[in-house]
Amino acid sequence: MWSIVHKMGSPPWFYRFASTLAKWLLPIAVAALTVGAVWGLLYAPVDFRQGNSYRIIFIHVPAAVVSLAGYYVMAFAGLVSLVWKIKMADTAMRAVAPVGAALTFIALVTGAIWGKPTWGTWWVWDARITSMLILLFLYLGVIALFEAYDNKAAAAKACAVLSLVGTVNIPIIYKSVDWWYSLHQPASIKFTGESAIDASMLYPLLLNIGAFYCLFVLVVVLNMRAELLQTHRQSAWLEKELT
Amino acid sequence: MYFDSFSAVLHMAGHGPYVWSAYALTSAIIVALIVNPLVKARAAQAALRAEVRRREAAAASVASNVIGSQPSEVEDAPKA
Repeated sequence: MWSIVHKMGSPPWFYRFASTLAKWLLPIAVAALTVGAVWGLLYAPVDFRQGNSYRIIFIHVPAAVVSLAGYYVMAFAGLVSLVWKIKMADTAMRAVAPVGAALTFIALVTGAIWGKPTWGTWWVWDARITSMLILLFLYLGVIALFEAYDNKAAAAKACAVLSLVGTVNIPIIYKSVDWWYSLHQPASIKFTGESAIDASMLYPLLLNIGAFYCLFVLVVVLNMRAELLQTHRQSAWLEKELT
Repeated sequence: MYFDSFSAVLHMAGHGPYVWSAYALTSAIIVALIVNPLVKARAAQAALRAEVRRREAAAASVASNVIGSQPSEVEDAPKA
């Protein structure tokens, strides 16, 4: 167990690991995303109440689910970087932030587009939507905070603290649809009990959630690899790796 | 397939513009997410390889200068 942790913290090992993982994950993620989109757009049946607009669910829900899970990954990496001063954890934390921000943005914008034909409005200050907007600001805050410091060790520490404090928002997002029931519908997929969605829609949705998780891991690993190439350009191991 | 024709796919009973714009925007962001680190990594790799080549070339020219310059130095040396 500890040997894996040690390996993960070693830039040369991680660089090789990331390159191999990305090579496999790139075609898997692209294929899963393509199949998921085609299934959701063309083959899933139409919703009897919302019509075709519901097809946005196949990107809206996966993006939202992964943006929330991604925040935990970022906060955990921040914790590791703060407590054990592992440089690679700090790299991971900063690699997650732009992906999380992009996914949160997708969830918000596709939600707005879905809202127009369904609710009759692009935007409403509903608890779920507002807390997702705060999530976007938290991700952007981590990116901006790191850039604001000249001393990068201090910047990493500040980002880690911000991402840890921000985790308080995640349970609020999860629970918002039950606590303040307004326009946004509650979850359709349940881990316990029967899901409120038919199998013909559930399967493509689950496939898309899996595809977005693959995409998340892929982009985080690619970002970390690009960052290693930048920061270790003076290192002998990287030179050996490339020649 | 759920739809009967290509125009039905595009129109989606009036919801086409909403559905398609959502999917188009999402695809564009996903492509950017994947391409951006790949381009950055490729540029960094190219820069590093160029740096290594430049250093090797410099080292080689220094080595050949040292070998080539020995006789001339002897010739140029002031005669005692």
